[in-house]
Amino acid sequence: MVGAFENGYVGVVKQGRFVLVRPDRLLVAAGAREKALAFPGADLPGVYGGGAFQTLVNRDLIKPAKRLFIVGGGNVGLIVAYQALQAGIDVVGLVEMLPECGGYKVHRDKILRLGVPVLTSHTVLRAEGKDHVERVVIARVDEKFRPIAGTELEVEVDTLLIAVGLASVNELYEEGRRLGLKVYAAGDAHTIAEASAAMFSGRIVARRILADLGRPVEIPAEWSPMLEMLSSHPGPVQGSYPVPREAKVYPVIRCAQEIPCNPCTEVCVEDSISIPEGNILGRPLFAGACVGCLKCVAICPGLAISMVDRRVDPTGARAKVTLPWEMPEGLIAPGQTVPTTGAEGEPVGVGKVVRILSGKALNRRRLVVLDVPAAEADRVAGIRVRDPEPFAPPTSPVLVDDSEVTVCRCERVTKEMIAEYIATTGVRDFNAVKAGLRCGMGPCGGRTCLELTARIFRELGIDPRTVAPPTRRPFTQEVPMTAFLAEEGGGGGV
Amino acid sequence: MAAEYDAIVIGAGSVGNPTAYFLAREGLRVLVLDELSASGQGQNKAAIGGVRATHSDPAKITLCRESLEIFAGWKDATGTDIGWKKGGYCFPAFDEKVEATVRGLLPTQQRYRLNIDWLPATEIQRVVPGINPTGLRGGTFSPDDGQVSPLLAAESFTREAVRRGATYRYRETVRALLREGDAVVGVETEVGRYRAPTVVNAAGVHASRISALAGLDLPILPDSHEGGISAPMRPFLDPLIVDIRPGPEGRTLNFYFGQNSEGQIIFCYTPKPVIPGESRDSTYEFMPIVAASMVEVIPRLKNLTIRRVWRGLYPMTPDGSPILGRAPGVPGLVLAVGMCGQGFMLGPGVGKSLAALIVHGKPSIPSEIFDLLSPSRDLYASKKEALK
Repeated sequence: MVGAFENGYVGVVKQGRFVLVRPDRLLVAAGAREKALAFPGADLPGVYGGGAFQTLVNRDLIKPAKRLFIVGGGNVGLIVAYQALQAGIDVVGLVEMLPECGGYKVHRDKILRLGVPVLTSHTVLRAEGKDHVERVVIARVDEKFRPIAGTELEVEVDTLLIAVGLASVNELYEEGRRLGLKVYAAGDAHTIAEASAAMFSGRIVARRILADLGRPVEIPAEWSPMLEMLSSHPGPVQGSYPVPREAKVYPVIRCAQEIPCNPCTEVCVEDSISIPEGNILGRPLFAGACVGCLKCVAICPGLAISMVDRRVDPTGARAKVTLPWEMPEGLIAPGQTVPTTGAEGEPVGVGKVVRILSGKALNRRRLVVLDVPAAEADRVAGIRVRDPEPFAPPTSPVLVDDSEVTVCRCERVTKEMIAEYIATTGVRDFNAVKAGLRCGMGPCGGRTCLELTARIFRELGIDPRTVAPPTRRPFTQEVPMTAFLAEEGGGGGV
Repeated sequence: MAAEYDAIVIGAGSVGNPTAYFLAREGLRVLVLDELSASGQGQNKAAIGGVRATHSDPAKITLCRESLEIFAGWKDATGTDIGWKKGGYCFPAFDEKVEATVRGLLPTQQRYRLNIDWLPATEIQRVVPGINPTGLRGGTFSPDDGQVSPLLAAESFTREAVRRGATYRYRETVRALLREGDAVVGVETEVGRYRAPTVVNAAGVHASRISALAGLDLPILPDSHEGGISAPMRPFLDPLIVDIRPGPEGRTLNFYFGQNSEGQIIFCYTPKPVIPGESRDSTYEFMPIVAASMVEVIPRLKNLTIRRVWRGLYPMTPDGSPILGRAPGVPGLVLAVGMCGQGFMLGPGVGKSLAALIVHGKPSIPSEIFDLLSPSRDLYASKKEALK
């Protein structure tokens, strides 16, 4: 779909033809796009959006990097770090501007255990390189998120991922509403949240559309609070429930934060894992019998459960710990001694790989069985695969020059040009910035630069909400002229 | 207490901005008021930027000649590039009727010193590379006409006016005109009161509402036209092309397009029948109609990629000509209204003449020509502009 028009029509380009549709109902489920950051070198080859990189690695099975650095400690940044390691890409580090990562603790802990440094209250200052990223410079920020001089560190990497949040792709939803279409939005196009929330919102909106069309469907009353729960941000870190004292075989559940997740409660064959709060946000509690079936270890998406088995050594000196293991095959092998870590990556000791389990019954996930000192068994939560390298201050002084910062890539408009324009003209209108500088006038339609321009207004002390919003017009993407021509097979059939 | 100015201009648009600039250049303390958030955000930005003196009306020919001179010299005068491109205008004739119309206008146009002539088909093919030769009889070509970026021009006129002391106030809608007897002596917005001995109504499609505040009944009604723009391509097309044949299924009165200084093809048509009203929502039929028309004239345009379309409003007068000059019976009120969709090309010429009228008592173009657009004329006399 490329545009919404008067009288309830929407334009669709279908097999190269511009086709008009007059929908009774229009659902926009166009997902999200990644937010960008403006810093010198942000347009160097080797700088990717985190989600784009994820697509390349996970869907297209391309390995476009050797040494990776990540900006952003939300779920996208944390998960892409983990997936890069799974793909055999070294993840040298991750910075998060806020004092805490915004993503789930379980996702952060996964990469900490593997040996990826996570630096909070840090940001990227610039990316450098001749034709490609060769290094990035990061720095600590103060409470107003301003970089602190003298805290710069230089990191040699070939790839930098920007994972600083998502924005709803809702232009057609907003346009549709303005034009009086009966329009709905679901998933990230409505609210940025996890995939589970997106799918659930789709279920609700589908029923709402059917109901609005007069079909006899009901939307159960509990669905709406459920969606709210699924879409909620992670709660504060409260700590996990304590590990049982007497048992010989038991899971250690390191789930310390309210997040919408509960598969562990559903797989336990003894029904011993429950959420006392009675909803999916609460933390799981193990109480009761355990047969060591490992289903909970295999199912937990947060890799937050290990299984301790103290039955194996009659002397009581050694214990078995079983951990989920999703790293490339061959990285560890039975008989090998590996460094073990605690929940947040802190070193514990060493363990010996006994065997690696896999199979359908284990959620197709590989599990590694470690032989560890019994006293360490409850603490062992992971295996370190890389040693964090020390980052050194840059050898030459770091200049952050706004004239090098490209904000609108289509029309090559820099941050300095926009800031100067706003300051000298006093404009409070995104359209005027566009008119004066062509910022946002390119083929992408302002998808990246509008958000960045809003940030420049904010940095100048102007609340972007007081700035007149950009006018939306068709087309949401460029359309070939031939699509409109009858003799070319196009031409607006209804 | 009301703030004091020498002149107040209502409307920071195609006409208001140059008027403010020329008034400020004369040393007047000027206030410009606009209800929108920035300059040029009304219909100015909907203009495609064609500037031609090629009209049939002597006053429009003369005012646009002034505009062309101002636009052409703007970069030298201010150092700012506003996308001026002197590529001329071409009205190709593919049938006898069009040939008769455009050739019939040449004597008047040439009498008012317009550089325009009829060129045979072979010459038109040179001026318009890639034009469809089938049925091409020739066309008129006026090499001194051109194109400007309306966006950059609005910004630059505003900046230069401000540099000369003009004040711009946005997001202020004029609620009342301050009166002393019959005279207008200022304006009142929801924010404040501003006094000035001269108030210029340059409110475009809102001109009737503003004039009504002084008890004047100006029959200016908007109708709408759509425009669009392509992705840029290598410069190949110098002139703006105006085709006055009826378009597909007779749905257009004419259509026109050109390549701007950025290499983008920018295009528009006059719908038939006209679409009255203030809706600016894009119609679904604009692109199919204009695409067919453009490709008919220059077949290679089928390789374009279309980036954006929009819809703007023309403030129309009954006789299709602007209303310019002092408002009859209302001292202090000056009208620069009813530009009928040509406010952008008329703006600088109108602004210059109005400033001269306000400051020196007579316009910069000959009074007898300027007065052809007088508010006192019979707006319903049948004089219709031949080249819309």
